[in-house]
Amino acid sequence: MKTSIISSKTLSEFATFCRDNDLSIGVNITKDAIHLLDKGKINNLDQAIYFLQFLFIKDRREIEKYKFLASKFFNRKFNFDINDYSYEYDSLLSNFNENELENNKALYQYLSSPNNERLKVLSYEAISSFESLDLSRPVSINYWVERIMASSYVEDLSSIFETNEASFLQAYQIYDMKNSFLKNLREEIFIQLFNIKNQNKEPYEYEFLDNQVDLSEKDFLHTDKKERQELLNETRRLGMSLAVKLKREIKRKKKGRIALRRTIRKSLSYGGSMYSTVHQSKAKKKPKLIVFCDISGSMALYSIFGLNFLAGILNAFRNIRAYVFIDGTTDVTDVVRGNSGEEISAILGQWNNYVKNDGHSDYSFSFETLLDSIDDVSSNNLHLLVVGDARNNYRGINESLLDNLKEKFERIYWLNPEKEQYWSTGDSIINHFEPICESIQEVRNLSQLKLFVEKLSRKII
Amino acid sequence: MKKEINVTIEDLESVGYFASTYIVDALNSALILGKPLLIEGPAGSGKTWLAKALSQLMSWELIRLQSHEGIDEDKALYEWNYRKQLLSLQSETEKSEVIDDIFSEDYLIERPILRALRSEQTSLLLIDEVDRADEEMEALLLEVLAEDQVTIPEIGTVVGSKNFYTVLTSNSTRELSDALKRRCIYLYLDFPEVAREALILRNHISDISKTESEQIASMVAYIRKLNIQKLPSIAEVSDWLKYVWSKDKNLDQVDLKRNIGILIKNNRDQEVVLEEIENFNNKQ
Repeated sequence: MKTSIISSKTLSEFATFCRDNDLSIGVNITKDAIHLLDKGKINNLDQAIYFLQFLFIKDRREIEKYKFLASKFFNRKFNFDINDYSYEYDSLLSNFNENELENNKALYQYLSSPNNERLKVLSYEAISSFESLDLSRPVSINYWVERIMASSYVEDLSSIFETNEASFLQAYQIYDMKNSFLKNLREEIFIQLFNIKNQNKEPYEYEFLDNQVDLSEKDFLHTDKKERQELLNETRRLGMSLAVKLKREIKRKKKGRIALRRTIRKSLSYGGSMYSTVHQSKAKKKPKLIVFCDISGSMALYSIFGLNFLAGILNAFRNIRAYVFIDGTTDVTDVVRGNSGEEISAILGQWNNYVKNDGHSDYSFSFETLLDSIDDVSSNNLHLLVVGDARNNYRGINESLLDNLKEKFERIYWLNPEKEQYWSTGDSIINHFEPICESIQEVRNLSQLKLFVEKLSRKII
Repeated sequence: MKKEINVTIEDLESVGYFASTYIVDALNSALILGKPLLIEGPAGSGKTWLAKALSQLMSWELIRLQSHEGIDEDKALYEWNYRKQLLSLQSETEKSEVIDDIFSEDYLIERPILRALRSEQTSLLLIDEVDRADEEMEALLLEVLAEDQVTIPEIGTVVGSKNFYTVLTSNSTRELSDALKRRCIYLYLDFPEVAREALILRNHISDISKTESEQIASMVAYIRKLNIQKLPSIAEVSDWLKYVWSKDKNLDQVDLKRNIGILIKNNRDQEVVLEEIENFNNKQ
């Protein structure tokens, strides 16, 4: 056993550490890990951590988390990227400005034949040319990486890729070359800064890394553009997965009661033995879901997530209607269905189109208009899903409205993006809805939404 | 214990699969540990093809189980031959013969999983698109994946011959259960990086140059980053390029508008791609 790389004790501790940090791994993993490290061609810690990912990670979203936990536990940054296939940029370099290439020999050498050593030289130059770097400041490494990437040195490097000489297809190659170079440079700068910052620290003894949280646990409101896009895609997928569950249940219920006459007739072909049964076809009992999303100002970013969730459901399922409201209700089923995330976000950009009165949330009036617009829909098996913070701008709520809602909908589910501690404070009227709702859940991040979808699909079907 | 096997990039290349070190390492980890390999990734990224390539490389019999909604143990594991059982019972009455047991081997119909378990030759069980099956089906698979065995109530436990390896694929249309994932080695198979896709294209079109294939692969990588619902698969790219190449070998003259249907199969996506390509070209 190659205990010199990672001892079984360390492995076991690492597994426990990962488990404690919500990486879902089995208790028997250490045995498999030892076997894998023993039999695989593993010569150093980097390779060991790289190979262990196949055992520890069970979801692509866990890859970054695993790298983070490994860095934290072993106090070093691991790079899993392996370039197997060489990409020859040589033919492209002739399109670039010769003078600029002459001035940037390190970049020229890297692009002629990309390798890690040359990338290190470039990242070292980028870091050393950035004079205001101060790692003792209480900011994240990412902060410094972004500052360096925006520095004049990196800008000069990027400008080399701007050429008018390229042909139609070469332009895509140059675009790809630039993006992969900047991505690699960013990662290398991060690693170098990480190593400088942590060079004198012991592994796993100090809280030395920047506070990095699991993206699925991150509040939608605190996400940056890239994270938001990723989360919006995931949100849409969650909507689709809810729709898939609903669809599946309909199909399963397709079989009706046994058709006795037809079963007996069929059994005649087997000499009177009942070889198989014939069922009556059953009228499909489609679950009817109305989704009602608050897009008022107080909902801010959460509305985009609510609408993307809607889009996911609607694109997969035709029996759901979607409404948005501020101070009145608008049917957006056809707008949301089949449209991309950007087009959906545009709904919020045309906010004025959805204002019916004064532009401040009016839950009473909005619910009343909703009930009017679905007056012809049978209340049998009808469910309502509300996405909103129940902030009613100090307007009252009519008790008879609550009764009407209770009568109309079999079940009402409420997603509230506001922290639970603030519910029913100030102008929040969520407490009025509590008695008529099947469940009200705080949903501020992807994990909470995922949990809600699981619960909802179990209850509706 | 299963025999330990080590596959290399070159091995897979010899059967027409262009893998990366990451793919090969995940595959070898599964083979070393004798655990099922769960391959997750977008449709058309080469998941099923990897399993096929492995079986071809090792000359293993490929036993494929295509999952779908409503698939159950009758279709996946085993089924009793009711017709034969009925006929036997009738002949017992008519001929006064005594049949010992109608729930015996003679009446058992093997379905893919049971066939793989009892296979004397080494085989590769491919459970394709497992995410399309219901959660109940996942529960059925747990025993097979963890213990290489299956329990048939009327017969008992059938223990596998250790002569089979398992690969599961998933398009992530739904979350698989933790219990299933925990029993597998996980590989996320995304679309190939530009250089690898270029190599795949060169393998499909023999007279295309390295530079040309890399340029096309770069354009496809750009398209895959656009906000479209269905990303073009490797096979679609290859088909499109074959067509374009057969019409005109000067790829810079390619007019995507005339043949976009081969590459993009959704009307809205087509509009987005054409618009973005035009914008990109105007910027240059």
